[in-house]
Amino acid sequence: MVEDSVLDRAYAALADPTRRHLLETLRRGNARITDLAAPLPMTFAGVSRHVGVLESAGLVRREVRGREHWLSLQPDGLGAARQWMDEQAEFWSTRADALSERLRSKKGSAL
Amino acid sequence: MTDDPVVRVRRVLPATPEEVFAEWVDPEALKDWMCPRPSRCVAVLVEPHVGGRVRFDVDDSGSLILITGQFLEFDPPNLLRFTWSHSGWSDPTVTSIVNVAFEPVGDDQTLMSIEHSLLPAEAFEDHDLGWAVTAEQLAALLPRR
Repeated sequence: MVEDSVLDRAYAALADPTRRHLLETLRRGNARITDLAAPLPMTFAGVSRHVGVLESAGLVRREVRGREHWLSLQPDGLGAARQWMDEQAEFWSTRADALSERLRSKKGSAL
Repeated sequence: MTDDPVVRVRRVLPATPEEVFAEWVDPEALKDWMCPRPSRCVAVLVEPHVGGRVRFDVDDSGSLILITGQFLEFDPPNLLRFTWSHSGWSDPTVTSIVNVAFEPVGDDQTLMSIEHSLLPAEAFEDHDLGWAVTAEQLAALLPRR
């Protein structure tokens, strides 16, 4: 079972269009906050706060080089969130299998 | 990043939609398949109409879990839609939605499509950013097994 606090942070981080946009931008390569802020109708500080949320959720990594802060996607930062979704799907597929098996044996015994 | 957070399970079953639908609303049948071992349904309540209650008392390796809900749609043999809350969640008052559609495939098979959409738990705390966080069906917890 994935830990709740990890999931809370990951899903909270994703529950915002600007932050999803930032993650999509970072998929094209590492970038500085300035680069990320440029196309957005938002101040540097505003973007920086969003980046902070992504960082604390483990989705983005910040590396300080001199005066520049470079951001990169954290490999498999969404792993916990994905695992959680997989677990939920498994819950229902187990039941669908059990139902299928039951219907099959009902059919079998009716013959 | 655009992954849809709805859980989806689709399965073709060896029975007609009428037969499959009947399995979903028959407490004795549900006891058999809704609680795969090692968990066990101790009691099942189904009030088969819109607004009716649904409840599973599950013995999960010694601890009792209650899954409760209410039918939002009841359209035999095509569709079932009901709420789903779970006593084992960190917030047991969270309500998620289960949607189950049944479509005939050939003469005697059914495509069953389950969609479990999830309301957010206590996840969204970044009020200071001033974004209206929509109820984007993201986080909640489902039964632990």
